[in-house]
Amino acid sequence: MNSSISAISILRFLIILLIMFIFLAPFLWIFLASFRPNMELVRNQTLIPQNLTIENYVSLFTKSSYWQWVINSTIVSFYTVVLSLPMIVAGAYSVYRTQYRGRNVLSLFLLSVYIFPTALLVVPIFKIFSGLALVDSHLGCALMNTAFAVPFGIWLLQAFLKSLPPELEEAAAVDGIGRIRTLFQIIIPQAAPGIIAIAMFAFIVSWTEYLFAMTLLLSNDLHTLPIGLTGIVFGQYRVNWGFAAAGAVGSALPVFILFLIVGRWFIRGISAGAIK
Amino acid sequence: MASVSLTHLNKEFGNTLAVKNVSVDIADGEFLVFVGPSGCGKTTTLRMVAGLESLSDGEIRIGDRIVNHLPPGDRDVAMVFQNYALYSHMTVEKNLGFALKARGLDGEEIENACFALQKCWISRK
Repeated sequence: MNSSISAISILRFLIILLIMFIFLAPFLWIFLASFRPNMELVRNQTLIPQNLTIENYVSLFTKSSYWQWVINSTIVSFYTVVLSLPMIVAGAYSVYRTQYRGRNVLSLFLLSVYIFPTALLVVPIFKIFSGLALVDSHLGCALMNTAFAVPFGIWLLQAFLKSLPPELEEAAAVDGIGRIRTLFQIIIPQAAPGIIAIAMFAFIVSWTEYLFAMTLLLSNDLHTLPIGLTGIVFGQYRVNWGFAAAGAVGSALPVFILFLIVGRWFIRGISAGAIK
Repeated sequence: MASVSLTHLNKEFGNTLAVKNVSVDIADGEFLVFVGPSGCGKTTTLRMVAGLESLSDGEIRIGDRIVNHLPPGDRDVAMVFQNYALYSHMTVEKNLGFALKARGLDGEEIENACFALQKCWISRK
């Protein structure tokens, strides 16, 4: 009896390991490649590295504009979060709670932003933004990212708001507390874990955005991480895969660290709500 | 306290008639209990009195005011929900004080109220 249970659990463990390997293998490969000399990557395609080197990271941190790209990406992502969060919170609350003509149609049309292939929008957006002096500025790029983060963010947060008991708001209404105060003092604190998750979502959308950063940011010193990394892979340098892999790790690392910091807080937020 | 009177109260949700022609007069200070099987409209009636639900037809009077279209906060009513609605991001004192503050009580009065409540709870043990 016991042995059959453990056999099943070993099998389950192996299946989980296999699935995890399938999903994590590319990340593992990139991570390992970033510590390997370029010649080894070109010559033999083994998974296990033979020689380890930190040369790729040294050149990433000292020879490329890595720090400039990180700062630029942070600025654009910060703008995106600051611009999109108020819109997402207000929009989600409006769709979830208030009554007005056309609300349902509006909420259906929210996600229609994603119908268009983004490449189609590049030329018209460039034209409009150049008229508004938003080309070659971080703000213009952030506005574009905001436009893509807000509808999905509203949709996500609305689902989160639905999990809050309506009595919370009704109790406030009976006590004579107005809509705006209810939103700020009841709904937002109660939905804080969801709002933080959505802030992270907006941050990552912006952090990884490539197409509009590529077309809207013309000057080299405004480039964000994805654009800078493309410069490493193609562009003026010869293709150095080890270097590119180090760049990929280097671009994921700040987000990863952010996740570690915010994620802990996020989980605490959820469990605090559950205990009380 | 005040008297409450409901006259020919009706509530429809789509095609379902949830509350049908309810008329009740409740005197000032009277203690009244609604009893009935689930789904018979007790909660809906109470929610209409509190102003959380609009009425399809009829009239609600609290004191000498017709409150049909008044928002809940202006009706000067209190309500305890079936699932108690506590704000989990606030302390007990803040939970208690939140409504009092909205009614214009100052910090000291709220503190006194919380203190009185605490004494009540201790003496009950």
